[in-house]
Amino acid sequence: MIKHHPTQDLLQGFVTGELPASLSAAIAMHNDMCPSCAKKTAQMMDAQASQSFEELDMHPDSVDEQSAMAVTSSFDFDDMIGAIVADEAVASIPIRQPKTVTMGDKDYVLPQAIEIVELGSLSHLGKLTRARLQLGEGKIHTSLLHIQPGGEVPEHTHKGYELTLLLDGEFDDDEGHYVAGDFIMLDGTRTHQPRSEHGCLCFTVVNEPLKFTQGLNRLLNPIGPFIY
Amino acid sequence: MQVFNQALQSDTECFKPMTMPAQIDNTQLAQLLSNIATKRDKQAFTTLFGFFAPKIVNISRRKFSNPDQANEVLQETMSNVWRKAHFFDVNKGQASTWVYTIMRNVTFDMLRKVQTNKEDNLSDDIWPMVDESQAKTEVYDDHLAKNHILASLDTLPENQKMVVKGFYFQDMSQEQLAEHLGLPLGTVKSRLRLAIEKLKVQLGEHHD
Amino acid sequence: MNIPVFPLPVFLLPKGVTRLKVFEPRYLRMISIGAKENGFALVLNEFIGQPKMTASWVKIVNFDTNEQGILIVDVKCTALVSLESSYKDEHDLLWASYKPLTHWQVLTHNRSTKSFSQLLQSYFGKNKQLASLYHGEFVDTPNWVMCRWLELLPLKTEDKLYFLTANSDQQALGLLSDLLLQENN
Repeated sequence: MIKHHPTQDLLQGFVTGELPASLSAAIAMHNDMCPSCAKKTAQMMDAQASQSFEELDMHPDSVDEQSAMAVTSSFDFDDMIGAIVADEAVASIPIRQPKTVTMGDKDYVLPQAIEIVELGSLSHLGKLTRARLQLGEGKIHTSLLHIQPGGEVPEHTHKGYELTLLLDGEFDDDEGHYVAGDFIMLDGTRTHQPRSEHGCLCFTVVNEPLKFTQGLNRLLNPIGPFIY
Repeated sequence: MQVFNQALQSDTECFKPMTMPAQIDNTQLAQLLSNIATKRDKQAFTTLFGFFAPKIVNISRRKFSNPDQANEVLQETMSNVWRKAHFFDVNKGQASTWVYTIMRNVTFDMLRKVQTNKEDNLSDDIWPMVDESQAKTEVYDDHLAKNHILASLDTLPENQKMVVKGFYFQDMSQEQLAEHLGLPLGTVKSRLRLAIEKLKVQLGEHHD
Repeated sequence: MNIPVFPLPVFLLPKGVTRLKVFEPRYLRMISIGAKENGFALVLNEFIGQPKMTASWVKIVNFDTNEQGILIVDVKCTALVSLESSYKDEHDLLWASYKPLTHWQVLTHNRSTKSFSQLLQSYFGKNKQLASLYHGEFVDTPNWVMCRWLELLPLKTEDKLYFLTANSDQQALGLLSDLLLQENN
């Protein structure tokens, strides 16, 4: 059973579209696996839509409709309507082309939220395989991380945040056992050392380089850039 | 080909908005969307536009300092409303939420383009407007003349109903096959299963 | 040479006919192009997204409008083709280049195929709509009869896909014999 969910704040950011694409995609994938968060999100959507579209009526003093209209008075709404309805075509239902990725000798069909995102080439380190998602979000690095059976990630902490969304398989750390759909958001105050007995595939989002807490890793540490 | 011209012809009469209360009335909004979807009703669209346009511009102005970009959000959002109205399903949510979703997606893609220079329109995949079951089947079923045939099924004598159903789906039903062969349904079912298993074994032998 | 592509869950073998209802603008366009030029291709969902798609290349044999003014089109499969290099045009219509595929050799009737034919003729006799789709034409050859049976049988599409491949006629013969001719279970 999924035990780890996005916080209310993250869901709210997802609803308003204010999160980066990496985190939005993570929440979309979590919601696909978690009916309770999907339901909560749908309720928040309704509330957000009502609030946004009613706001003008409830707070006539803020930015009122008159001034909004004034801003756009430089062009004609009728022209816009005319241009829109002149288009006879109706949108067709998109044909999806599911994408498969092979990591650690296993084939995975990628979830819809990330299926069109370009994947970098695979890097390997021991039992870990990583493919970078080319989302172009600067310091925010997003990857698919595959752990082969018996593999683990050395203990590390984070200056920023590290999100791990378990897409397939299971892993454990000192705090417990995680299953597909678990959404694990860690901030800089916690350490962890995931290990996977039977192998797993994770979607990770990290916004700052990692620090490793074990001495040896600090010195010989190809894993740092690998995970970030 | 006369017939194609007729099918593609559009009405070009004038469209005038009817009055719309400032408060959200989701029943009325849903009715307008349905008129757009089924009748390409320009008057209904003009009414919806009049209701949402100032709100969308106002919201977008807080996200984009450039008024042109706020107008672009409006144009893109309302154009999607016009082109995608048939995706709206009144049983799955409120009309105002549906319009908000479109506006949010348009805004997300535009901000992403500004901030990361990526024009991948990811919003369609992060927040799909069409759910997977629709995406796989809806178009196909309609083009198979299913709705048309199902609508006229009621007027047919009972014994013909099965035939029409089967024929338009390119399949006989198992019941029809059983009746035609004069065999019990159970026998036909197990024959179908065994025949496919046998085929798979044969193919497996050839391919391995 | 390219033809328009219509994704549709219709399993259609050579000389098979099916009826379509067409209302989306891009597919109305496809019909008008297909009628004037070189037909179009029906491709099963199972093949969508693959670099090579097996498809039924069809020609329009009849069309009409129903009471709602919607276009009803009957199409007939000319041959199975392999589609490659697909792309979408500015009207969101899928196009691909096509190469005809060989399907089955020309078979001659034997005792089994004669039985398939009799069973199918009696089925056509009872099903006027099906017969009318073929304008009353019944082609009494083993290839035609077996193809129509495979289209009609209540099997899942995924279980029928194999019969789109070349030289699958012997397996088809085996499958139809098992289904239609066994006297008891």
